[in-house]
Amino acid sequence: MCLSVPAKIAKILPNDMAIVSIDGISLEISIALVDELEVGDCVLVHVGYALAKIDPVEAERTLELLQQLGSAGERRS
Amino acid sequence: MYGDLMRAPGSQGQSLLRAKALGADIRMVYSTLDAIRLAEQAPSREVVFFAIGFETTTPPTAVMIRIAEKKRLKGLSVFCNHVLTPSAMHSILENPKIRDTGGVPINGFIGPAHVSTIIGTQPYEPLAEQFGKPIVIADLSRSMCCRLS
Repeated sequence: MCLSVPAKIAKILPNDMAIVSIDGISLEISIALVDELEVGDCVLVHVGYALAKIDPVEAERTLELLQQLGSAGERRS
Repeated sequence: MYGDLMRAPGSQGQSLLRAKALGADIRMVYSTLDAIRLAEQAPSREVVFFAIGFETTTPPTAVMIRIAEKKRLKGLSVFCNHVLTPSAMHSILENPKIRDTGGVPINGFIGPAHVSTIIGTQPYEPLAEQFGKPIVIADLSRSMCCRLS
């Protein structure tokens, strides 16, 4: 519950919903909490909601760190 | 309810996971929107969303209530257990074991970043001033990074 992940808006849907892409996975989320989002914007996703618009460079860096964590886990197991 | 609550220990050694095993109808959801769907699918039943968490999960609960109102969903209610990060930190610092005896030395706090996407940094300022503890909030865009002491 306490983890938020960066995602890129792929499609804006009606009723404050959007499709985002997180590391290649598509997910339908609510964008009711953030104003004026467009396709291509990066957002912080938490429990199915976009919480904030974030800088795309920061988003990329966080995703890279998450991927490194994932591969570190694979090496250990 | 959110999945991480399933294993949380309750009174008399119970947990919601155990209650589910004993037959209680407890559903895990990823988002409050899933609770809306559950209530829509079973209009004759009372769906109670076990709302818990800090500032980041509170707005999604509020959105759920607005949607339920708009859709006139009668069978959905909220068991509200939302909490605030600065209040929790205040309680820790006010604890006599920490305040008086120095039993648990606290030099400062690393604030949760995604909480600050909601509340910013200002709510921490009275804490930093009152207790003289530095608070840093990590992993935010540069404009929101700050250090209080």
